[in-house]
Amino acid sequence: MSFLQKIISTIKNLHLSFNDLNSTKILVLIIILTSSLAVNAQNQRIVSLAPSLTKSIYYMGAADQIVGCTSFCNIAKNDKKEIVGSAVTINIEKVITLKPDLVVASAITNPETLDLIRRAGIETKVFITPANFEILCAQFQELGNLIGRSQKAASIINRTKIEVEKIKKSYKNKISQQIFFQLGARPIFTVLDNTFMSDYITFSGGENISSGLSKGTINREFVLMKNPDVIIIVNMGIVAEEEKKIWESYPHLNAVKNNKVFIIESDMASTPNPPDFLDTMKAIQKELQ
Amino acid sequence: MNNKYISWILFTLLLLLLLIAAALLSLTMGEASISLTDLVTLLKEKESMEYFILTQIRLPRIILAFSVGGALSLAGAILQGIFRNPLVEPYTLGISGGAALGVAISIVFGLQTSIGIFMLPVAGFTGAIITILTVGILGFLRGGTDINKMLLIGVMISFVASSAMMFLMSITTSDNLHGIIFWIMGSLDEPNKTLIQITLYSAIAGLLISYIFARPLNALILGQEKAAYLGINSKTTIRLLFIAASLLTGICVSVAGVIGFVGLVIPHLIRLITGSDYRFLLIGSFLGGGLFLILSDIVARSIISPNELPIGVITGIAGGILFIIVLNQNKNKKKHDI
Repeated sequence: MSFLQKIISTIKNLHLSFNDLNSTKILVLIIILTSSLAVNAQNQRIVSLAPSLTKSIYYMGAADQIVGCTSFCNIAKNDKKEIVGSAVTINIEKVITLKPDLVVASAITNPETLDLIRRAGIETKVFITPANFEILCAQFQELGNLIGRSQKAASIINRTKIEVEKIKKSYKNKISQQIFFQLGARPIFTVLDNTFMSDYITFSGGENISSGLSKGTINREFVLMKNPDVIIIVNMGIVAEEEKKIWESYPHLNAVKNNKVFIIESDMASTPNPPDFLDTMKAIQKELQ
Repeated sequence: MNNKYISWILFTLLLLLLLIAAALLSLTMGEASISLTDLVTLLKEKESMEYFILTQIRLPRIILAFSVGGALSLAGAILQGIFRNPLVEPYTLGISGGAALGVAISIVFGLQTSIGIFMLPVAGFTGAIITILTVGILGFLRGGTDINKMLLIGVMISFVASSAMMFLMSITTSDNLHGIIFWIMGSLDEPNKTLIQITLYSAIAGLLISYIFARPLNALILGQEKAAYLGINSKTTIRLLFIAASLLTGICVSVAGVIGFVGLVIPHLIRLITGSDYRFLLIGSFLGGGLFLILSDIVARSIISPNELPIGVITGIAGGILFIIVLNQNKNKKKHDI
């Protein structure tokens, strides 16, 4: 993106046109321009080591700033980005030769790998899995600030928050439901408190049957005894359809009686960013109502 | 009847009693509190949730634990006999490696989503069969039965399979990683009744078939040549038993994942207690393995309840420690021979 294009896009983000500029607005504009350009100048070239972060950067419209990503960054597949590694193994040499200003990673990346990249004089930033929706938004904003897209990030977050509030309100006068949110099978893995995914449950006016547990592996009997009204299965490298059939073979479960056992796309539900969070909330709402 | 037979019968009865006790204990352990006295009354209340939990969750799990434990331990006893090597266990020959690789391939390439419910067990079994065929064909080449060569080939296949699996794990998504790692740890959570039945029937069939070869197995302890002098067709015996033990292992691995140590430790324990006569060793290993896995499952389910530990964690730790203790206590009594 050229310098001129950047100025124009910043102005667009401000919803201004050259005709209605007054002195205050010009001052604000200058401040924003200089600050955003200062960040931009630093972080023109980004390497993303996590599919979720690549996705966030795309949502902020900064796809062309990405010079390298992993082989699992599906969203970048058609853009012929340089591949610098897979989920766990990163080709450090390749990262360094791409001369990025910024390397972003999730907690799954080996800290030693990042340390080496840092020693090569490259700024790195790790985003750990957010503990709730608020932190998820804050991280999105932080990433936006780092790559010079603070405006865009802020507007996405605002829009999402408004929509999420609307969905939360739609559950307001309904009876609270016991929800089991399943992440994996063999062993069965459940969503725990203090994860952004537990907000899917609470925001949908539900209660997590696994609330209070500290470890995610549970057995079928636990689920049967808690007798959830709703079972939501996220496909994580296992057959969600198969799990659905197994639950449906348990006639005592309220969720089965209510016909409320359904599958949510993993790519959407387990990726921490505002647009995917909203889409997941919408998908759950569609099934619950 | 001499003393040996009487002690065998007594020991078998003891194992059976312990098995029943372990099964009852396992039936009463879990999230839903069901006491021993409740068991009888609950059996009449067929509509209740507790009845459902007992018959659909706990009982199938006990049967699977018994079958897998029995079959793996039996396979271990047989293989230690034909290879005349105390370190051999069902997984030494690369069968678990092959099965795990099959499962990893099916998870990484998403085969299970396209084919469905039986894909993981089928993929595991295919992997096991390919390994067995490779070891078998190379070992039985030119009409021979070079057991040492077979053993080495098996060990090498283990290494190749585990490296291939690491390769797959290094190129796949973190979602798939989760699936593969937990599959390797082993689990007795198998809601599919057909698979449990297949495992149970194969385990019993394995016991019956191998029992026919109890005497030849005893003779094989002396070595192939000497066994031949005793009128044993050692080649046929070794081949048939190898195939039976491998198939048993393959079935167990594909249904329950990799549950280590049962096949190594239990036959040795039984040997230490009752001696190396295969006429008893086979039955003892079978019952002992079943008992051990039912007990391990109780621990795995209850130690951090309502969370659950992978069963392989318990069998490895408990089996290893138990074995060292027994081995040390026995060191002055009799020589541990095979």
